[in-house]
Amino acid sequence: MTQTLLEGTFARRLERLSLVSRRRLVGQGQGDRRSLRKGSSLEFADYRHYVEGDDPARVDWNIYSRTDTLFVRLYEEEEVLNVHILVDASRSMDWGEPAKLRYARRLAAALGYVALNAANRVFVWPLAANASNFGPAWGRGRAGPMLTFLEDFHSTQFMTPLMGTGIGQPPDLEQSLNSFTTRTSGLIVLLSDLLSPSWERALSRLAGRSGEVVVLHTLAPQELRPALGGDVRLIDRETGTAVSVTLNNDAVRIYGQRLDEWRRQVESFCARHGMCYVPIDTSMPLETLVFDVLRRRGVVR
Amino acid sequence: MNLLAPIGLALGITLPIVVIFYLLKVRRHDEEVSSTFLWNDLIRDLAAHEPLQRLKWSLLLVLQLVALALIATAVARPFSEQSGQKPVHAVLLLDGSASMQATDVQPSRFAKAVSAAQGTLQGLPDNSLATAVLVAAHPQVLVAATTDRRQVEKALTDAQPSGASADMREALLLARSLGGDPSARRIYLFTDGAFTLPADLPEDLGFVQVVTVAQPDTGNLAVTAISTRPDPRDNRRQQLFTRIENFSSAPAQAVATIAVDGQPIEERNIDLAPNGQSEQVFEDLQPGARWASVSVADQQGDNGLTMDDTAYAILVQRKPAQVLLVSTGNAFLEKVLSLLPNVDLFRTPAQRYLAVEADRFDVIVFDDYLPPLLPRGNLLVVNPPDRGPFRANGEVRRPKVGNWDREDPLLSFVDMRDLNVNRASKVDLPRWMKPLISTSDGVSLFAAGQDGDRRVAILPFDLRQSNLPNLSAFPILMSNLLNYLSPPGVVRSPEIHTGSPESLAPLPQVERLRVSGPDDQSVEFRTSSGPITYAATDVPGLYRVQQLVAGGQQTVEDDLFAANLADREESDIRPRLSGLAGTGAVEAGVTVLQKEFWGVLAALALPLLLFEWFWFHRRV
Repeated sequence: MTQTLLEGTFARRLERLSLVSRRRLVGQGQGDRRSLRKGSSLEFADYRHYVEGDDPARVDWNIYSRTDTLFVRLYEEEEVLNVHILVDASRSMDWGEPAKLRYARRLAAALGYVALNAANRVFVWPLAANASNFGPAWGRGRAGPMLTFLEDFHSTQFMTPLMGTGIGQPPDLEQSLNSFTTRTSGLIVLLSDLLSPSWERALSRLAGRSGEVVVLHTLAPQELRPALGGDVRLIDRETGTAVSVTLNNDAVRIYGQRLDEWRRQVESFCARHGMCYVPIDTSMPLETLVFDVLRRRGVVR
Repeated sequence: MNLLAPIGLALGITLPIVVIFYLLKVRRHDEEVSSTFLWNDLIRDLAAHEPLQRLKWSLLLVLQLVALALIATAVARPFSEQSGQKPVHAVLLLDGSASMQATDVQPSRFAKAVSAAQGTLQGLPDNSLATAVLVAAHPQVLVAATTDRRQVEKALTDAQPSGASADMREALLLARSLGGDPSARRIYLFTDGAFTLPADLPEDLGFVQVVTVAQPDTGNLAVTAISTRPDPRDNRRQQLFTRIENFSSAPAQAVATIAVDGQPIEERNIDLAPNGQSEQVFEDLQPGARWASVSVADQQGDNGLTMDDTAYAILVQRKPAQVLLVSTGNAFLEKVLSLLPNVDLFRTPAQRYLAVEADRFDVIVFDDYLPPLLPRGNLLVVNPPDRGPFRANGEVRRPKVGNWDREDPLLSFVDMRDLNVNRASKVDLPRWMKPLISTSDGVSLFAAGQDGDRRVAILPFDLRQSNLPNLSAFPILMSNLLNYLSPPGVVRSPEIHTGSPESLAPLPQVERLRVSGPDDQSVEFRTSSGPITYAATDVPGLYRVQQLVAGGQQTVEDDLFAANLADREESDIRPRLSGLAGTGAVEAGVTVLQKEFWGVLAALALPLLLFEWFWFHRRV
């Protein structure tokens, strides 16, 4: 099963990629990620006046010859990057053709593999009730356990809600984020359909954390272009509630308008909070998504 | 508003049914979606588990209710009461006699009558019935008892005048029958009035209105008689007799032109007194001419009817029969054959008979002789020898006539009761021969029949051993025999009146007949047994009859017949009808009418339903 999540040729191509973090992150331990701390790596960062005790080898003598002032070169210290991959495991994700959750598992596997290859510290957080997380893990050798974890974690099971009480109802997206318990900062990648009234609060919680957030908004083609028609009773897969609608041309057109408007709202929210927003159609091949869309969006390079 | 069929309102029950349909919830099928988060704006009905919903007025519901209400009302046949003219049954009699082709009114009397009939038709009260009858030699119902005025108008427009006189009495009686209820019957006669009223008309015709379409005092010159006969001095030449009449109260100067085979040969100026006539004889018409015509023209150019200006006569309808008598000597036969008209008789002794020569004769008479091989022509065999094609099987002495076929044309006007024969041969008759005179014990004394194309008659006794030559029936029998063996042409009557039928009797081997009229139109008939009646003779002139054999590749010699008006009543085109108009009392025709208007309601409902259909499909 692990092969289906991440095939060999695809994995070899992923080894040439790395995740991009646009902010300078504060991390722990030395890795190959630029840090806000100036250090002694070969990556030049800035100049400052020489003070006593500085290493004379780092004095820039060329500048001294022109200005008679001693400057020392500052180099960025490379640190380990924490990569938190959050996979929405709600029942709404387990829907569509191809299923959004399956697509999210494969995408998480690809991004996790990229991170492990780049000596990042990888965490995988399934956003579901009572779900355990994976990580921290680093090094290519941990790819196998990560893939096994991604393959095995379960989505939220449907429970009949007790009418009117709210007891037994599945947790919404914001509540699911309670399982994201770590306080470590780093790059947070959220894979979710955001089909929850609490999507805005959930994203706010992520935006409030230190570190960069990438929102991979995963929707199925049946959600983007519904092929329904006639008089239907729509059953919510997540909550089991029913909505009766007459799906004529007008209704489908209004739905399309509503969907576009909602996606613009999410994108606008992400932009305001410095989050990277990538809309995803699960009918798109994964390789195209990773090597084309995510590269253009600056999520990987 | 009153209703003719109030039960139709029961259809109104469908209105609440439609409303109930709108109250009932739509049966929906379940579809699982990832989330209803985005669909909430589109929710139509949150109370999905209740069987009924609150009635929401929609355009579709309103359209359906209005359309159903209109249909239910229309089915109940609403009407309003109005006072109006009582419907009548109008019988439009259109005079189609020959005189209606006169052109004293333009374009013709007949066209004017049609126009007047159409005008009368339009003026009839609503819901009136109309019947149109063309009055010709026999009244012809064009359209019967209909309220469809366009149908009547079309029938009137399509009608054509005939070339014969009209049987007005029969037409009026027919109109009385077709018109039904006398109180509603209206007979309108559109005529030129150029006829006198039949004396024995019934009194109960009811309302009759005559619309006259002729100019009074319209004069006409006509050839009212034509006939031919052989010249007594030379029967190969023909004489032509004709009568020319002036149907006018003024004297006329006419020019009569005679033409033979289409070539004018003589013109004569004739002065005619008022209402006078002149009989003319034209002699010395050249031999061999087939037909002649006489045309008359008024020198002042005033002539009301043209179809009686020319009359035609057939001069030679058939050539003389070529008859060969092969005999050892029979004075009776020679005498009777030489006296028959239209016969060219040739004689040859039996010893000098040559079969090759015999083939060119129409009829060969063998007396006391038969060649081993019979010639192709038609045969009369008298007293055949024992050997030969007609073999004798003994003889009978003094046979008495038992019976004879009086109905057969060969024995018409022939009385055989006194026939005495001394000795007759008992001939074995072929199956195609029919015994016409026979003894009581079945011995045939006279038989005839047709074998393929050839006709054969047999008298199986010696004329000199019988009293037949002394009987008055003998020349009649021989004449009948010659007519049978050398039949006249296909045409029965060389001259007929226009509109009269011509009887055509084709030869047995003929497959089809083609008749070409003076208007250059030809009609073909497939022949069967018996004569054919050809009735399309309304146009005066010459009609050519061709007999087609062998799939139409060959023709037997064609015949002519002529159709002439030759009717003094029709040629006198001056209106003279009186005593018919104004008969019967006309009731005041105002009554209360029920005017239905269901059609308007149905016409309103149809576009409503179409719009409802369009509106429904536009939304889906």
